[in-house]
Amino acid sequence: MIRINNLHVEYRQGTSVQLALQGVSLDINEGDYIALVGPSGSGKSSLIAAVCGLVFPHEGDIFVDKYRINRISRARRAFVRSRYFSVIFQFSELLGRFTVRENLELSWISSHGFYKRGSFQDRLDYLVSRLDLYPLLDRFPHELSGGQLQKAAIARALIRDLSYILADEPSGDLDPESFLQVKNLFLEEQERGKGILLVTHDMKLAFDAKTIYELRQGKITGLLKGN
Amino acid sequence: MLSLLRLSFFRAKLFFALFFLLYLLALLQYDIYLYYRHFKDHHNSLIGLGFELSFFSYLLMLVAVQFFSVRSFAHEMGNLETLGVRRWQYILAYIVHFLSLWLLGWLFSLPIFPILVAFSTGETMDGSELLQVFLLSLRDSLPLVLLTVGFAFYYHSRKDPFLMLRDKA
Repeated sequence: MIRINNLHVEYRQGTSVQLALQGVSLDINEGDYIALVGPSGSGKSSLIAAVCGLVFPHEGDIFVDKYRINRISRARRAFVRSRYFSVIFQFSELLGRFTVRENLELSWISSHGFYKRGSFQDRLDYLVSRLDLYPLLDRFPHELSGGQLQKAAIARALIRDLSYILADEPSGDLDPESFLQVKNLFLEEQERGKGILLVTHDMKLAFDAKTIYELRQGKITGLLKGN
Repeated sequence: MLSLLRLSFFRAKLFFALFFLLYLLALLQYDIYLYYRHFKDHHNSLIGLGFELSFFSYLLMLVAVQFFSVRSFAHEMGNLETLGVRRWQYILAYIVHFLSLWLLGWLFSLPIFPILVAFSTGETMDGSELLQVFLLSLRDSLPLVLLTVGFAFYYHSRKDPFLMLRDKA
């Protein structure tokens, strides 16, 4: 279970302070599908970064099972990421000097610690068929279009097959067909018991979530769906 | 870490080829410096001093190039850390990378150095002299590469992984 309690995140640049999140509280269980929608600059990406320990909160707590993310060391936070989170970033972050297949392989190994050919191949085949990735596997990130890059980044996150999926604007560059593939894949993952936290401004994608919150100026301002 | 090493060796070929060449040149210069210091000092101290100066200035340049080149890995380091790879793991992998290039440079210097000496002085080195030079260069340069590469990666990975991920330089 992920418990976010009164989370405040701020960014300092010289003397100016930008408040990204102001008192966000949220619980995410395995099997939940929660979406946070809001305009650009509302703190959506900061929430994802804080939950997986990439940004240090100014105030509040984040618990991932027994780990209190804001109180553990950098190495421990990396460990928690490798065991719990499949993170999809807004700007499809792939390792530029590796092919798509190698990116997926590294992602798998970083969370499973060893290379079990069978399990990796099964998961790879599943994602490749769902996202229609086969022609892209041996290509480098710079050879892909924005949409293809986005799909490869989604596959890199999901291949880890971990308990929680954190997705930051995953549908940004997708064409309508790929959009549907991703939408269905998220639903399948939720049915398999994954907890999904989706942040987006795209209501079409958020629509499938069981619970939809509105995020504005770093605060949850309303419940749009669910209870 | 092993997977990163396995995959990474055949990527960024140009970058690593450049470092192999830089290391090879440094090792050849150091071999010449050692040769003059141990076997030729009494012949011409001016030439010896010239080699010493050129070697140490090259060494400084190499350390600086190494330090600033490592910055280009910042985005990759941030990316690996967001995947959950521990900082010590990827630093160790990169150090092994650079040490392998240095070792390759050292191996290549073995046949080149005696040819260089024969060409420049017209003398042939005997086996024990060669062995002494090579063992000394191995002993002296290994800790230097280890320390300078290790420090460069440690320094450039000190930032928050999220900020490193944003670092496309």
